Amino acid sequence: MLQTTELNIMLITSVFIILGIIMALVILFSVFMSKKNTLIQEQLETKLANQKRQYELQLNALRAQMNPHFVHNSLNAIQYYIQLNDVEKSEDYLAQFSKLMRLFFEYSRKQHISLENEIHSLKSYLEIEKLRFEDKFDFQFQIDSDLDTQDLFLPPMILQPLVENAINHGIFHNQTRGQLWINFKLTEAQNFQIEIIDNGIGINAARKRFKSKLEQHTEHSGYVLEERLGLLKESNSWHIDFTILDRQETENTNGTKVILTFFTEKTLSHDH
Amino acid sequence: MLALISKLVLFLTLSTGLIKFKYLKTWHEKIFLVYLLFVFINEIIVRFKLRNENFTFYVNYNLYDILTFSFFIFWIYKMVTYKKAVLFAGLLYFACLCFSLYKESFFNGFLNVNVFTGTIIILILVVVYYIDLLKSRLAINFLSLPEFWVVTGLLVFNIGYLPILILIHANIETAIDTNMEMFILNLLLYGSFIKAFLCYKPQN
Repeated sequence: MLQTTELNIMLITSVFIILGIIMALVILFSVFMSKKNTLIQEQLETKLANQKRQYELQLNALRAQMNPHFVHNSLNAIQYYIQLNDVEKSEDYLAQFSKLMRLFFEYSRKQHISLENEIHSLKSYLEIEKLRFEDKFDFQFQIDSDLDTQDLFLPPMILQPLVENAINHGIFHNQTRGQLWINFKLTEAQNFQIEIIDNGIGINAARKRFKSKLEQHTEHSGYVLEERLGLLKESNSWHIDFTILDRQETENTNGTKVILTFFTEKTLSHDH
Repeated sequence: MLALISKLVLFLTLSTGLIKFKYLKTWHEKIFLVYLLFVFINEIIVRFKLRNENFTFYVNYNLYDILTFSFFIFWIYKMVTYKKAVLFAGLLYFACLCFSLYKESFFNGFLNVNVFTGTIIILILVVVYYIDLLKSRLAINFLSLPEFWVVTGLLVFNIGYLPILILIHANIETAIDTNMEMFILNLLLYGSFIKAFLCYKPQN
């Protein structure tokens, strides 16, 4: 009799324990799986939102490149040569302009372009800008011999807005002849640095002089660029450090220096 | 026989921990292994002492219980962000332990109040840990978190242990043999600990 009671108690306790454990585990894993799914969903949504924002910024950058002032002034300058009956020069510039437009559209669709292509499109852009500003400035490219410009990549439309700022807000307002240096340096392994240096009025003076205008344009384009770099970093595809210096503060001379350092953990093998 | 298998499983847990020792990075990960070593040594001492007929194992098991509850309270304190809640639970446990030491004999019997309150407090802290984890982004990889498995082992063991405690102390005029239940609960507990150690992998 005692044994039966003991068995019954033990059986009830065992069933109670087993049910308790199973129930606890079912609740535990259901809650955690549900949380996991929510977090994955959130992660995907953030990634999608970032991607969308990246495309928007890319589109903004393209719009900035296709700046109506730039297009209008370039075409005006070409028209000027046509009016002078300088057929050869006007043809040259028209061809360069159309080539540049094609490059802008072509590169805006890519995830990354080679340094060689970027240098090529920048040169075309600067030639047109020189024409637009009636040859008021010179530019110089300095490329490290160790730098493999075909095998190193960068996101498209990163450098052109910075070069445009250097010309429009730095060099253009200078009394002396403008000078623009664009240096490409290999820092370590696959990392490289790009410097855009001008002898313009400097970022501090430009900010003071054109406060309201700059707030609308330069500050905005700087913000857009920084946001783009931030999103590229977040998406783990690029890590780019961006520094802007007034040369008056660092070198005791007029101008602005922009430094972009590209950290390429993974070597990208080809254009997409 | 069950006791022997139980000790073998404990030895297996300890061995897994030692094999994975090089991957244990933080202080709270390493101290967990030290705790397991203490449990193992305590079990061995009890086993050898039991051969002596005059020996009572109360001291060993009371000490084991106090150290186990204190260790897990401290361990969870280190783990969660709700420090105040754990601290409060720790103080509550300490008060109950003092009461238990005052009311019950440490040398000639089990500290039942200590075991009851300790079990309930650990169950509450397990829930605190889960809430904390659910609020962090770490929950996305909860299956690969060693702490999750350790805490789950504690949950399973204590959920099962609490009814046994109640049953033993209920006013029933029969001797209750809970060896099989305790054996299964120990298996589940050490199984969870082994799973926790297996979560440690070399970082790429």
